[in-house]
Amino acid sequence: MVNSKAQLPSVTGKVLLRRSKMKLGYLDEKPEVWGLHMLRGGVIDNDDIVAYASQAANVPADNVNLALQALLDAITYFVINGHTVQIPGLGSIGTITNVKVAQTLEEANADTIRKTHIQFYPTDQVRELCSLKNVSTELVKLEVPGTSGGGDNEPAEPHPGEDTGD
Amino acid sequence: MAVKGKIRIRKTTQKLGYLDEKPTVYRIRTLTMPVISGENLVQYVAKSANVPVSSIRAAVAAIAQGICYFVINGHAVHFNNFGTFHLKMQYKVAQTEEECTTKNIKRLVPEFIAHRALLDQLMAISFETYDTVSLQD
Repeated sequence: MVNSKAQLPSVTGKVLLRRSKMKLGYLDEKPEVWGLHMLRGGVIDNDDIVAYASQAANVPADNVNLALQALLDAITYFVINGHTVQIPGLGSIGTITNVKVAQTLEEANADTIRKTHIQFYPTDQVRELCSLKNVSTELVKLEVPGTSGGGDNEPAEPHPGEDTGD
Repeated sequence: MAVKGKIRIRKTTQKLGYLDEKPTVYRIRTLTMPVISGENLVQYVAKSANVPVSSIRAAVAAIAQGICYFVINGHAVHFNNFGTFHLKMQYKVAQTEEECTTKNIKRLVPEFIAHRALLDQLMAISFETYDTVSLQD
């Protein structure tokens, strides 16, 4: 029987973190600070998701594969035509357009569009699921020769959106 | 298959209220298109994949469930030519190693990063001026 209930998993998550030293290169003094970085697990691709979904929904893997391809194509088609698409159980995906203002009506045209990008809005349930209340964090120590706890992907500057502290 | 998108835009006026003179300027706004609800999406996907609706509904729910499960366990879920879902961490930096603990984490948010192929399709979007809004004070 097909399991068609769109329920979010009632599981808690766990992420592993490491400490590393980094330089805040955008400041004049370029101070060295300590930051936290997530240790990423393996990348999950289409096949892994299809296998998981096929087992969870009790639907043949071929159908899930077809569904996934059609789903991604449909979302792409609607998004590039200006629609916002609600993905059940996940959130919404839509476009945001940045434009420049013009002084006259004639100047206000498609050339004033700076950039169009994609925005993902998770549902409240997904936000709750991914929040610190539901996801536990653990700090691990990585011994990497020649560095002080850093790794291959240690950035020199903090990611955009991250607080740089006081 | 790359499909060319089209977004309709309209001209509108705007007052820049944060300036003292509050000048009126012109800008482009995209027309708000109907939101494609989950059910509409499922029906569309079922039709295009030629798979029963119940299977599609179950598959979509399970795919969303799978994405959530892997993301909250630190994985990045990557879809070819579409994008990647992952968990983004916002934290406060520390001055010393001892101060750098998990208590510095402000929040964890799920994030989606579009693939280059999808971004290229966005760049290829054509914009069609729908209507010109007359100046209204």
